[in-house]
Amino acid sequence: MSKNLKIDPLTRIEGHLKISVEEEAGTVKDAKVHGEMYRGFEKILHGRHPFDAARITQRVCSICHEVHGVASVKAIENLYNVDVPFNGLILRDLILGLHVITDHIIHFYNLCLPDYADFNIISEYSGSDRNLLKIKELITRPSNPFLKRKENAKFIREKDLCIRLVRNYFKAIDVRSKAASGLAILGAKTPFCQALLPGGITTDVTLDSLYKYHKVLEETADFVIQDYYEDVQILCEYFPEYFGIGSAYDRFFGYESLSMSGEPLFKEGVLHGSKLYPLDYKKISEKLVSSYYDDDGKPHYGKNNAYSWIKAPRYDGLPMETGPIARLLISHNKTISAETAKYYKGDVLSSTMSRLLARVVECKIILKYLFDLISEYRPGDDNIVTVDPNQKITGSAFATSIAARGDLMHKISTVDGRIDEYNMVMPSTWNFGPSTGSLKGIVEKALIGIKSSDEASIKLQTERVVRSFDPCTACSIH
Amino acid sequence: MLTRRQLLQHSAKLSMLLFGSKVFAADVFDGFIKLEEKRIKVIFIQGQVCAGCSISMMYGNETSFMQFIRHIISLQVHPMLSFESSDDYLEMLENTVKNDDYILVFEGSIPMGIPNACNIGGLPLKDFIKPAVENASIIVASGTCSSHGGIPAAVNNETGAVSLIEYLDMQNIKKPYLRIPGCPVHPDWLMGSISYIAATGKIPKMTELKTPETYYKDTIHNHCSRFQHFSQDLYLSDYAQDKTNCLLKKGCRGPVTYSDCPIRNWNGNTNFCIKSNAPCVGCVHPDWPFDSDMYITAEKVEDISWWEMQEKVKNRDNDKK
Repeated sequence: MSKNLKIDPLTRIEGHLKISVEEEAGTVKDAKVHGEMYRGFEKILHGRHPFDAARITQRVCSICHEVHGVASVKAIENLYNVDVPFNGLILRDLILGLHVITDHIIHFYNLCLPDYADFNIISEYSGSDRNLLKIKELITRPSNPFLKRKENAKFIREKDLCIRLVRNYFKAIDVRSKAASGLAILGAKTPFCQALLPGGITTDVTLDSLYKYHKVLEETADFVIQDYYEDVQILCEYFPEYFGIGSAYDRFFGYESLSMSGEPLFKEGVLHGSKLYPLDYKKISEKLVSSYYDDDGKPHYGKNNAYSWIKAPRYDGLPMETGPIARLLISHNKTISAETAKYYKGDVLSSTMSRLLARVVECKIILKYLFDLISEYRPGDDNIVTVDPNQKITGSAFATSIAARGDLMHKISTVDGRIDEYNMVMPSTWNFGPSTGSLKGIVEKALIGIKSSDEASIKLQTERVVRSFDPCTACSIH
Repeated sequence: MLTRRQLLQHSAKLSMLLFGSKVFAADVFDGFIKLEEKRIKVIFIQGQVCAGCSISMMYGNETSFMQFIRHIISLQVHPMLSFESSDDYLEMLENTVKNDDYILVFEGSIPMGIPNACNIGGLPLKDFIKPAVENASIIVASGTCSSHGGIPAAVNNETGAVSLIEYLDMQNIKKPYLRIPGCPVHPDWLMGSISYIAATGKIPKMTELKTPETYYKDTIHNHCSRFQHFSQDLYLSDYAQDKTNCLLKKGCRGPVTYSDCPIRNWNGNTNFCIKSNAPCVGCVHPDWPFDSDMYITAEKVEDISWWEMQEKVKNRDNDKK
């Protein structure tokens, strides 16, 4: 007898998501990821001025708007044939890199950690640290969001470890807030960097603004290396079994990104097993068979056999995984292999824990890149070339960007200076998209095979696996 | 520690807040004695969102999110923070909603044309939020989507998205509410307004649009540090050169957008759009994201079709003569 278990709504994500799994004899046999929100951004962009896309697409998702800002202005620049000044490109990478790091921080601490550590242990704290006492007061209130029903499953419950993790959960909020000021000094404000315009960055960047950015980067680096990296290691040591849970197809792709200091930090390619193939953009398409859209793209809730608002991107007809783990396997294989080998014997795959580990390893790689990049900035040179919005261009173009959850593409086509079609192929669409025929989506595939005789444990494992992909439903459905 | 007298005063205020009258002060006071301390309960619900208003709130500015939840409010549930998921999460939400002593902060729009374009816990959003809306003591529409419809309700939208305020009208629900528009909301506008309610038991003084006067009574243009350049008709034409000139001819919507961004700044008083040499796109405006182009190249200020103050500028030339 099989049983259907559902998690609805899944909290600690962006947007709205429902997960259902089919359990039989203690094993998950089937899984469905239901994207539960649609807004229609691509349709809203139809008929608008191309530059408006740089503002509107950022609003698809506030947690990773920087990447949409950059991908959209790059696509528009390709369409208008604009050469961006060197400084403009440097500043964009400074924004992207710092953004990706802060996004990984919120993911690990504020979205994932409560699945692994028992925060209630803080109630046993009896020391005199004022910060910890305030946290204890907050968490032990009779009703608050930081409560979780007692789980029988394995959680980190050692007092010292828990106190460290709980403290860093709240510290992460402060670190992100400070990092946001580093993004704002270059990008005007955050969420939504208005200084990202086709042609470069509008901000008049002075050396003192770069000092401020550098100071923020230093503080972020301190947290990443002293706290985040160590805390992920605590989880890896505690839950090594999760290196063997939650793998999908072992097929990955990545676009080139962060390439302003020689060799690109992340290379383009398609990885299948240990073989890296060149990426052919013509092989990318979005399928609608299990999604609430008719063939012409019109929304159609309740369509036969459809169960999600998310579309299903495919490469050469196949689902592909994207994310920090994909980028590292493609471009920094030795680094991630060495890190994984400390906890797990066997091939490095994309697994629940390796995805968490890959994020912090990626943070360290990007930090080094950013510190080097600051000194590349050429004071006195222009950051932007002014692009005339009155040009009536007919044509199409696309551009890609790194994003925290994987790699991103924006495509634009215009007729007589107005947007005819705008299409965003998002990392979370790749990972969270539904099945096409017998081919399950990436996250669905990763859930199949979860084992336990206990329903609660299956649900907990399901949540851990799903969150390890950093669900951004706001992006995946737009 | 509060004195008995302070506690009584506070009870009277809370009574006013919860019941619209001070007569329940004694009850509230008794409640205090039982609980020792009572912060106003706040719940967050998100509709068709990008999550930007919550993310912005957590970044903070003058206000800090941690201070806010430690000292000002009693945060009950938040979809992005709550440790519980699924039925356990819904149960926590229901437990708060069954009483009527909480503030509802709602982000995002509500799809009325395709109700299932946003589902939570197996219900279309419009049904899901109904009990929470009906029982709330005060409703705070956080952000432009929730206040005015925003991007999901823009021209060409397929889901029939409406703001929370339009939803209240459609469902004929009468509740005290305030709009805190902004795409995203500024942390101070949101946390500052809720703090005012928590501290005084009253809704802050509001503009005609039901936005708090403190933050929204004057235009960005009037607060702008480039106003002097505007007065001297010095306009930016090249982003790389005229880095202090008025951005009006590039499409800046500061003259028609009511907020205090220029004197408040964002992200720890760091920066804001115009300071960063980028035209205001009017994200606080009820018509955001507008039908007309965001970025233009106008030869003369008279060419800016959306600008209701053109006449004044023309007259200004006459005045000079």
